[in-house]
Amino acid sequence: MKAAIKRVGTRLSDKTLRFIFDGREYEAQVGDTAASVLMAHGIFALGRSVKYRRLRGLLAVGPEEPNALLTVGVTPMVIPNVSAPQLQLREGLVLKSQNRWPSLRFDVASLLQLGSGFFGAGFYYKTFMWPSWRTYESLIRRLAGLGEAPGASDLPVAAVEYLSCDVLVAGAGAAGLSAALVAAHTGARVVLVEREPVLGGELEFESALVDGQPATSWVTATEQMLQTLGVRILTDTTLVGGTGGVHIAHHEPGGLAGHNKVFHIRSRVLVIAMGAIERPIALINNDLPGVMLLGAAERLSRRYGALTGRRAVIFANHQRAYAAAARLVKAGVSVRAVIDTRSAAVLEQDAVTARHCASLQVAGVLCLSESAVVSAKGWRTVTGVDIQHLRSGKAKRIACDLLLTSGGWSPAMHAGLQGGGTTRYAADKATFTVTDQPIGRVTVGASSGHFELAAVLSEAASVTARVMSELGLVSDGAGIPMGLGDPAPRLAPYWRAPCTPSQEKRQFIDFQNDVTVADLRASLAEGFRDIEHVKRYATLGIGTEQGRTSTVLGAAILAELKGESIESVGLSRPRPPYHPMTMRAMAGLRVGSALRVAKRTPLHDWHVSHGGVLDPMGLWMRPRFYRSNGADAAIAAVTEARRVRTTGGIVDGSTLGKIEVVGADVAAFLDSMYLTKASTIKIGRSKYMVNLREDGMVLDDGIVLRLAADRFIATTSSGHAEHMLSHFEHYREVDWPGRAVTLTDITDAWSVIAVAGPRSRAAIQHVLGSEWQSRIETLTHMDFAQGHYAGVALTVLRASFSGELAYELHVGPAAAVALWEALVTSGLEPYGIDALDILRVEKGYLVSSELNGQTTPGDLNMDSLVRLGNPCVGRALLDRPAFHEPTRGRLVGVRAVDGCSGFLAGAQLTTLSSTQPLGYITSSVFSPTLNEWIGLALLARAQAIEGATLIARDPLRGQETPVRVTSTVHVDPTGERIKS
Amino acid sequence: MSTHVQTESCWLVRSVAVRVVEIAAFDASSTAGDGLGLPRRPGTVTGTDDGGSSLYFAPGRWLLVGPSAAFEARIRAAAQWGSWVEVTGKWVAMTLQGPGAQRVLASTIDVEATLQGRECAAVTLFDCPSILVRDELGFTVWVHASVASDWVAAVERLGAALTVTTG
Repeated sequence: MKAAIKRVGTRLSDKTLRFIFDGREYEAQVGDTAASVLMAHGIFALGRSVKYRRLRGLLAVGPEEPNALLTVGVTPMVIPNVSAPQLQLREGLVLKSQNRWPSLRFDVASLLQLGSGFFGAGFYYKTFMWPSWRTYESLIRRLAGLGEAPGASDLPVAAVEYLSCDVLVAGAGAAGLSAALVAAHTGARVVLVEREPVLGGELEFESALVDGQPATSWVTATEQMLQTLGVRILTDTTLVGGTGGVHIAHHEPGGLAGHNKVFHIRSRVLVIAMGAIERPIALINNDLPGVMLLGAAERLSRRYGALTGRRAVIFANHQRAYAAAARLVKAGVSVRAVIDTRSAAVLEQDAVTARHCASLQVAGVLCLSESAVVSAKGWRTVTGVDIQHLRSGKAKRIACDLLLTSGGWSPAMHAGLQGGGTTRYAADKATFTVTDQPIGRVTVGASSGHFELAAVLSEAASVTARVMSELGLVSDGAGIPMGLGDPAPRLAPYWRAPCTPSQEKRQFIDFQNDVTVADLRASLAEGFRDIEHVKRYATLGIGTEQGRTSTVLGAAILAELKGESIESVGLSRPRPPYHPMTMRAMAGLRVGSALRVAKRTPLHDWHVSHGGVLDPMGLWMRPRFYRSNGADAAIAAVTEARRVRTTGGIVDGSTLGKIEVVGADVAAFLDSMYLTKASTIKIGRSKYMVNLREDGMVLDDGIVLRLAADRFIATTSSGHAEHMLSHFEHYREVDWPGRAVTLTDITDAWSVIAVAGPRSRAAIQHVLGSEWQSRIETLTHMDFAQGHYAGVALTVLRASFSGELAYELHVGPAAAVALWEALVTSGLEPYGIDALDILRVEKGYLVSSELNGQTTPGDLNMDSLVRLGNPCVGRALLDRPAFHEPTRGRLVGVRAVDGCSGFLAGAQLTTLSSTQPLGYITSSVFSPTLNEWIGLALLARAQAIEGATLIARDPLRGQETPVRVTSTVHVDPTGERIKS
Repeated sequence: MSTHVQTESCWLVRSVAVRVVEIAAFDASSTAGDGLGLPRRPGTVTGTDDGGSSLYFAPGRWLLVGPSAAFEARIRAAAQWGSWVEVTGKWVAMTLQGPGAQRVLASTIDVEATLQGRECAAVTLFDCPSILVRDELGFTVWVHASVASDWVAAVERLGAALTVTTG
């Protein structure tokens, strides 16, 4: 084990913990991140790049870090792509570097670097074409991708919280705190989210003063004030997306998926104060471990006491580099040189810079103006840099093990470019800022291009005050904080150091995707000139860091290559989530059995306890069959169906949709909704009816019961109640506004037990008792009677979906189980949905696959209903010629010619001599009544002739079965059973 | 029949069945006044002398819980105005109380925004069609009977999850 190297930092404690990195145990201090402790141990290479497998070290310390991504856990329970600088270590964590095999130090695939000249942008698209992409797929998939996908997970379900506020402030740096203060003082409900575990942002590093006190003290006092004012502060929480005024914030303590929480925050105003991101400068080999951003080195030093190198060179294009250099020197870093691209004349005009230069030179730091680091030297890590004077071309080499670059800052623009918002180039700051924000969204501070503390504080306060006043909320006296911090950067745009064209393939822009200057040049050569096209062709700005360090740099270099201004090139638009989050966190509570709601009938528990095998059908859980009738589904279903035909059975039909339609106008309304008239149904009678869509296709079918002159119950097929209710409501609102029609879903208010078979009447009479005897005796087909059972309302409807003498018992859920058990006791055994399907197909009744949204009444042999001429929704379009062409399918029955061969739904029907499909089998079952396979099929009208012989071809199973076209009614064609 | 679910910070009781009726006006924009005794303002709840209550839960829609015979007669007599539909068994009442009750509901809906200026609202809670009612002791949630088991399961899961989350 490598013992901890004792350090002092603002986020470290003296306690230690142990973790494993690439199989070796290390000791860290509590508070350490994976990056900080590994760098403290002198481990600068933390991973390999995805494409060329080049060794990579830390570039940044925030969500913009493109290189140092680790896999946490042990296969298969891993979490890939965890950002090392954000991963707060916990006892016993197991970490693994990514994109390498067998080890980080030696990776076989790193040999790809030797061919990097051939692997430019577009290489995959052009190369792996012959003989087939499949030839290479396996190898490429093994090499591609970031990290290892988890094969299993023991992560807890992410918590979810919905909340609302007047103002959501994203970011708790100087600007965010200033904005939150102003908003809170107006009495508004404020939520403040901050991705770091502590508030303050950049104030943690600047030796600044706010309101005359050290910035860190002001942050502490402000946090207390905000809490006093009732502001809800969410740390370790990042704004990751949102739409329509609802913003998504992701809480991930310690930077590792585990106890995540997803906030859905509805706010009237979103204040984006997410700061700015330091960007690198492109130079040869700028991806070597040991090349990192200046700000990252400062953070590692202050927070974790981690010195990222012993001899540093700083390369920048702005004044703040000198103050940072002075702080690093103070922290113990040997800064060898500060290389500034700006001219000596510019530097001399700036007294602050001149003073810093002088003191640095006294400390032995070389300060070079109008110069650039053109190349980082070294193999596995930086060993030196080549410097060139930009005017004279004079070269110089300095030995170092750390190159700190800073090319300026890019405002965090992701949140400001969703649902509106555009960018504008600010030449004086050499960056883009967001503009044209929609109502209710503003950017403040560094997010809006302000980089000086005083300006940040005052602009955030004034912008927020203006927005609050637009809401009618006025501050009760919050003053504008006065800040004194690092001076303005006085930045001169500088994007990449000079190099030859052949060296451009080692000037990296997007580290995560190995995008180089050469790749942008290749994109242009291929005709991909727009920034959005370049992004996709060269993979610029995609991945976990979402182009935070590369988008603006890429746009600037693209502008140079195109010979255009950077304004005209513009930026690509980022997409949410702005910050990576696990799929599990995105799923929120919808995980496992909670993925979707399951509907249960009042008889659900009875089915489960009596061997019912339940399957989801739509959202409903329904018993397919009962194990008491056989362990095999097919055998059990046949047994159950045979029993219904011979004696009888009961099935749970509670899933049938039921809509109560009430009002003086409902008869006419229902006439308009069904193919046949409801107004002709007598009270106490019911009717089988069919709905059409507006285009004439059959939408649904069911029985409509007339309870009174102004009251009907329309039943729908299982799972269609919500859809049919919506369908009815649409036409009521559109075509029947103000008319006396109400619609109420009563599906859950009534359990339905369907009793079928020769013994059904006797069983019902026995169970319901004497008061029902004569009423049931006199019920004719489609009659119903109402009364009570065990004190609960009961409707007995004589209707059949099996072809047998059958009744539906609609009873209140409170009495459902008692009634069911009484029927079972009377000798009727339950059957499942599989048996019901057999009974339906035997009788030629429609099963769900015939109502597939593509069949008309004519297709389903309902011509007689159409001829009645009821002008309902969809009726007019039934006369379309296409619906009557001879090639259009019509429902027929089919049976195997040999009387014993099977065929399955989906098989195509062809003539004996052709493989041209003429139709297909929609439903097929083994009929226990006929002792053979039977089916329903949609067959071209021209061939839908009873007695014709066709082939049922099932190429997937390699089956070809000769079948005979029959009537759709296979059993009891005269309906004797149903009338008995 | 009742089911009790106790978590660290809240408790839920699935209440016994009561008679429930839905009232719907033919014209959703018409007022409920007219001497019918229904709540007049959307989102409000009124009680009756005999222990029943009326929830104005959606445009032109009321839920009557345990209506008295007299009340029923009055509403039925106004047949030109709207409909009376017996829905006993359609809804299951869940009583959610305790300091963590609102936090449980906040896992599926913005409670404050939903009930701002109202006492009840038709909503979707844990993907289940529901009517949310805030009262003095906490919340009563009317859930479709077919999904009530899933609703209870969601609360049970949250009971475990909420003890470990922060923020």
